[in-house]
Amino acid sequence: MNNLTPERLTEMFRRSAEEAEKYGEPFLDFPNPPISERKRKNQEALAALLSEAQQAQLRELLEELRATGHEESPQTLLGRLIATAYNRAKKVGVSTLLQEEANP
Amino acid sequence: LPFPIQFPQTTIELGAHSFTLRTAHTSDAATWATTWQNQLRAHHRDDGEWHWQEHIERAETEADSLCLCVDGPNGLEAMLSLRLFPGSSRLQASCDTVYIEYVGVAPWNQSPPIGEARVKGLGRALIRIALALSMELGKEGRVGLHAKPDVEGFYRKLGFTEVGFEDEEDGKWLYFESTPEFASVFVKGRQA
Repeated sequence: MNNLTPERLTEMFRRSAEEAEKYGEPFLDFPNPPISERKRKNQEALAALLSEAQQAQLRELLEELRATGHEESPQTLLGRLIATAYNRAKKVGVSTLLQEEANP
Repeated sequence: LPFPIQFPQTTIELGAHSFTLRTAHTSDAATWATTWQNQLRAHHRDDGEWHWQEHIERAETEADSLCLCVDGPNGLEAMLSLRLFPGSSRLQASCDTVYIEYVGVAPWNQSPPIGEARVKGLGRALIRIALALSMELGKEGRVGLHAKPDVEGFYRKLGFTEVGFEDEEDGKWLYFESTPEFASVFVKGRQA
């Protein structure tokens, strides 16, 4: 049985509007580092993993993807790749990867 | 396939304004792209890169997904995407959760707003609805979500339990989950 009646839903909206006014809109709160901080860390991780030439090649590849109709911007695709690389680096340890690079 | 709970279009009167809560249609993804996305991207908001079309299409064809929209005086005001699977509770073994994929509010309803601030509390209202849906579905108000770094504090302050960081396809995110006790109190409205 669905108890989400119009009256109950209206009450939820009314209460939420009151709380947002009273306590401050929740999305006002940015107590943690902004998203740019995470992006900066990812960029640092990418720089540690790829040479400038490799990064340029990656960007070219992403531009090609965009040219073939991919909906996401190259920046977004690059961000996803960077995040993946960053997480992988955190898992195995960047220094380990760099050692592998130096001593394949 | 329909979602287990039918969600008829509902008109909500708040003061001088009228809002409509309804299930989303694919045309809403186009509305989002033309009215929200450019503004969000221009202000470097991460939700400008969300995949609403994919989520709405899935909700139209799969019974485990639901997308809701709120229309208001400024057009499309807020959106919610949730799923029943994957939905295993991290706090209580053998219990299921409703999983919130996205809670999005229009650029002018965000804080800080893009443009003139208009409607407050819509994100909070949609979270309340997700908790109420979880109760209706027999999941005791258990709702899980992975939070963006900039709203981790919000979910913590609201009363969600912080479980820990989890690896997802697009990065490592902090997972939060609601307990039945919190959900009961929050839905009834005695919680900040």
